[in-house]
Amino acid sequence: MQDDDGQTLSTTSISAGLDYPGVGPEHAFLRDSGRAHYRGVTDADAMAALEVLAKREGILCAIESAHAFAGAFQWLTQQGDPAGRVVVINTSGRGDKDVDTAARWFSLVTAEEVAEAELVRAHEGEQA
Amino acid sequence: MNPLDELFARCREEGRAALIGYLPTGYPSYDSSIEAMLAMVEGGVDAIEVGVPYTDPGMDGPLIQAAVDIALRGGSRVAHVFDAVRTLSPHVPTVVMGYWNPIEKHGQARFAADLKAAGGAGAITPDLIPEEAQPWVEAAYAEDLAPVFLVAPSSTDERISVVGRTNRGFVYAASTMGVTGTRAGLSDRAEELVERTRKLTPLPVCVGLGVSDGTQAAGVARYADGVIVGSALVRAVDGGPEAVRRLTEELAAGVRQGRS
Repeated sequence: MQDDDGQTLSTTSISAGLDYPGVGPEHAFLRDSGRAHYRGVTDADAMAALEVLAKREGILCAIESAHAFAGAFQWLTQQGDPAGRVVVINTSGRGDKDVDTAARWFSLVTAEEVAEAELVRAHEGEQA
Repeated sequence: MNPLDELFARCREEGRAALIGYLPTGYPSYDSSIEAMLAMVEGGVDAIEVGVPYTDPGMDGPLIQAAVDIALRGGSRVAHVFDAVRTLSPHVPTVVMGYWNPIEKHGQARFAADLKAAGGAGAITPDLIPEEAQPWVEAAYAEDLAPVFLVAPSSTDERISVVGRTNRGFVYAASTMGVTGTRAGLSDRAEELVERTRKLTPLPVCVGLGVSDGTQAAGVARYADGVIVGSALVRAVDGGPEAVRRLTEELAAGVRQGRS
């Protein structure tokens, strides 16, 4: 992602692992050769998919992987016969690393609790 | 004849090293950066590296990173770099120092043509390796511009030979395995690197990274054909054109003391 001067654009994503402005050569090749199709997913759609997976399947997936589920859900709703479709989704990562982000997103913690936790963490960091 | 070749021939006759000064275009504003570059000319710089501000300046330390960030946020564009070259090149040989992506995005042949039209003498590309630069090198040669690739203490003799065959003007020898920034002392590895490079190419060898005052410049001038100063000059910009001129005078005196 760059401007017309070739300057790198800044990015934002709820998923730290997707918060970068580039595309790797494998994905670029798969796209250009027509072997893969790519679609965009919003933070809100990804987190909604994460919630569905947690509640329905008891699987806490990474927010990166939640984008794949959101993309698959998006695709399925565009099919005439979604119930008859078999879809394989690669759950590429686990979500225990993302519980802080999810807790804030779903308002499971208050702003005061977040601030307090960060203070404790900073204090522990000083001692370490 | 490329202006860099004339410069190094003259320095050789005078028995001294050349002083090459770097400043980024647009720091702290376009007009101020031009004033600072002209102050370098007044102070006796032999050649100027006009910096192309870039969002991911991988070879630069915190000082230059912060400066180019200010330049970019102030709206510094690649077009301004050509304007700067146009202003400076009537005074001293002027090269651009730029990371690869803005050059590629601009179009390699178009960048070379625009640089030549502005009076530029060449381009230093710190994040491009000569083995993968054939279209750019051909575009530069076609405009009689000097493509300048870098060597470092970690470079193999094979790489140094490729750089020596590909470059025009001079070889940029990075003194340390690090980023730009002022340093208290320069390692012995810089001199070893220059000696090793000399055995592999007849081109002048200029040392960059870490030189900040006249004493250090004299130390490097003892063994190198050119001394490249960046961060110290960028820091001097904060003191205004007069501070840039004074530091340049000190450095210019340094490169003349090295071999006396």
